[in-house]
Amino acid sequence: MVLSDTRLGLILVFPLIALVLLVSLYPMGYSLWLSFVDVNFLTHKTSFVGLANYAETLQDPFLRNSIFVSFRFVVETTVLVTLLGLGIALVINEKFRGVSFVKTVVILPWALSEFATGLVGRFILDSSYGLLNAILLRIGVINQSLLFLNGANSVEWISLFYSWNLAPIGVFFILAALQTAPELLYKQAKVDGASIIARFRLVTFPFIRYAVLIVIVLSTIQAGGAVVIFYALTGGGPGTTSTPVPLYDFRVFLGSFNYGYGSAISWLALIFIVTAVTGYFYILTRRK
Amino acid sequence: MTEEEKKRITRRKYLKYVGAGVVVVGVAGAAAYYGTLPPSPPTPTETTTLAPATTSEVTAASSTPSLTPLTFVRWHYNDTAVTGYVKQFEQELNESVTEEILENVNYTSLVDAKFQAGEKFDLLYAVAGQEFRWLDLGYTQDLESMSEINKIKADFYPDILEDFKDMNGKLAGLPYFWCPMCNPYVNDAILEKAGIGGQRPETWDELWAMARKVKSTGASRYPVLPHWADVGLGGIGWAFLAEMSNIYNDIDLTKTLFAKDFHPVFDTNTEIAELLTNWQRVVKEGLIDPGVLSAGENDMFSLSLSGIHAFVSSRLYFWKAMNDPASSKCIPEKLHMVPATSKQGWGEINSGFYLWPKNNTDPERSERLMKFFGWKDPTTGKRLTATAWAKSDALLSGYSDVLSDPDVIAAFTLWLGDRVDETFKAIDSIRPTMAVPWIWKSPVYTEWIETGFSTLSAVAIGQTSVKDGITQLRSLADSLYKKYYGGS
Repeated sequence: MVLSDTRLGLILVFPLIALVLLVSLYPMGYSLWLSFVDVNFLTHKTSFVGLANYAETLQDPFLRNSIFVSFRFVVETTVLVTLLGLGIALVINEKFRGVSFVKTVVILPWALSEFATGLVGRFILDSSYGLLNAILLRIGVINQSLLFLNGANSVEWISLFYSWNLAPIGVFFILAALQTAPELLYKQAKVDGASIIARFRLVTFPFIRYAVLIVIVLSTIQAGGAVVIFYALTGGGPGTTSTPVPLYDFRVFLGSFNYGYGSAISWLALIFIVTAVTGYFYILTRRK
Repeated sequence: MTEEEKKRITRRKYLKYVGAGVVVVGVAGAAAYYGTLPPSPPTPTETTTLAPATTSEVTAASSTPSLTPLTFVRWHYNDTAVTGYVKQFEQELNESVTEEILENVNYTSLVDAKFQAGEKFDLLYAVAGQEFRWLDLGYTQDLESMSEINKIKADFYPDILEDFKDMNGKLAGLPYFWCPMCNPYVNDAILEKAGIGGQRPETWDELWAMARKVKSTGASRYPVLPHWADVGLGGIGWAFLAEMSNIYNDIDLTKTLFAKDFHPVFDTNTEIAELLTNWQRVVKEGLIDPGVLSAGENDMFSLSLSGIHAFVSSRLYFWKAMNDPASSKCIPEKLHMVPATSKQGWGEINSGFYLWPKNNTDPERSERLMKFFGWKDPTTGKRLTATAWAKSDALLSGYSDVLSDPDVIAAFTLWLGDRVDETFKAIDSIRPTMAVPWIWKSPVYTEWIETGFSTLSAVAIGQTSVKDGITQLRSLADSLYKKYYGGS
């Protein structure tokens, strides 16, 4: 019997699909199962607890606080990354001397790991040895060092550094889309007397809409899962003022070894992110 | 058959190729598996003696070059020196050892994963809180079956020995190091500016009173750097235990926090409320450096080098760095360890352990490795790592003879100068008074503090009220007690 090209193709890609299922779906399934059980290392027993782990999330004041921190961080980061991405992309889309150099500089922060970005932030903001305090003291703006990473502002600082690290992705997505917009359309819009804002709204934005959507989606997913930068910059403190859900979950799962409850938190976080992303797609792709 | 049909892969051809592939992979896999199977354990005549290796042993063992390597799991610390000792062990005892160096930050989680995966290893590091958890969970074993165990115990300081025993009084590990932690060190340069140079607090209350004096005279903006780094193990979680123990004269904390059966005994109307209320007060008064509350251990260490604090609640090995003009802004001669008096104890024990995994390569060989690192070199009878770490980093040893070793005294004198005697006396005064928390002997503590520490920090800064904070801590403790001991 001769195999059709389609069947042969399916057979040949089967190992890859199996591998993907193994490394992706299996851990997810395992984590889902963990979220319904309680693991006791002392007795080496795993007992099924139904939805008890999910119910516990409703009573957990640490988690409530972390949800608020995460929400704040995701919103701030997404807005910052999108605006920075859009602004920088519009600038480097123009033809000027040294634009290649600027493009290289713009992409550099992306080369840094999240941890390194956190350390950079710490070296700049620390109240004892931070660069920012040193500069402000030297030029006489302040006469004693400031505590930037305090309970009120630390999330904003973390968001700023994280956006700096993430913005190049936005820049290059949007820049690629910008370069597909025909020059002729701009010329015609100018002839028709369209203002800069009108040209952006009517000519540019339709071309970059999907790139912006991708940037928003990526930023949301990345920021929603960010943990290392919090760990490196503030450790989640002071108190729990900068402890997002993933960091709290990390502590529950790998610090307190509460695998069941930790998995339940992960699943709720996943549902939240998927819902948010679906919402973005709905808003940005619906037709009037 | 057309040319195109010839090129096509038929089901038969496909199955034939797949079958051949499976056979080849299977044969190769089997060959690889059996090729790497560990050889038979060394015969008793080669390994039963734990005395220094004899020539015949070396010869006998060297005739089995494929000896399964022992595995030493550890974190990064003096890597070159440790590897040197590993090589020394290999040469002296004709052994083979593989080192697995794990990231310090996630050490506990990574070791846990190894244990849960059933990996075999022969020696590992642990710090306070981890050692008994792994013992209780059945991953490591006590050392009572070791030969010469009584000799080993006799070498300990009696009070340090208690810290190394599990809840049944069995030795849980050998000493990697110990040192007092969260005890205060004073900077006389600041106290002199405040007009109270040379004075020493004898209690935490006196320390805060002196801090107020320092603050009021403007001698320091933040007179105290407490041991409040934003981490559970190694930060504010340990400072909390130290102060609770010191202030309420409860060395093992069974009267104020967790009873002998690990049941929580604290509540919103017990001593903990008073302590946390005082923490809120000192934060509000600006007596502590607020930077520490969002600092990791390394940042807390950096803060301690700034020389701006009158009191630093720290560890001996951090204090050594404070005495180093190359890295510190402090004036070494002005730095002193505050001794304990009969009024109150200071700090708590900070200890590191060599642990003996239950699932090891070979009990006798791993015992030799344990003893080589955690007790003494069987060939020379010398303490190797204990002396080396005391000299290089001021890590004290559980063995009482290390601090009287002339080489160690010389090494301490190098950085302490004429303060060496007073420092040794201060260490001796603090050792019997510092906290040795009983709760560390249960898995409850590490799991409690890993999320609970942020509550302590949140209470200190006023983000959470004292009452709510204690309620959260108690609720967490209750659920862990129930989980492990089935109580309520």
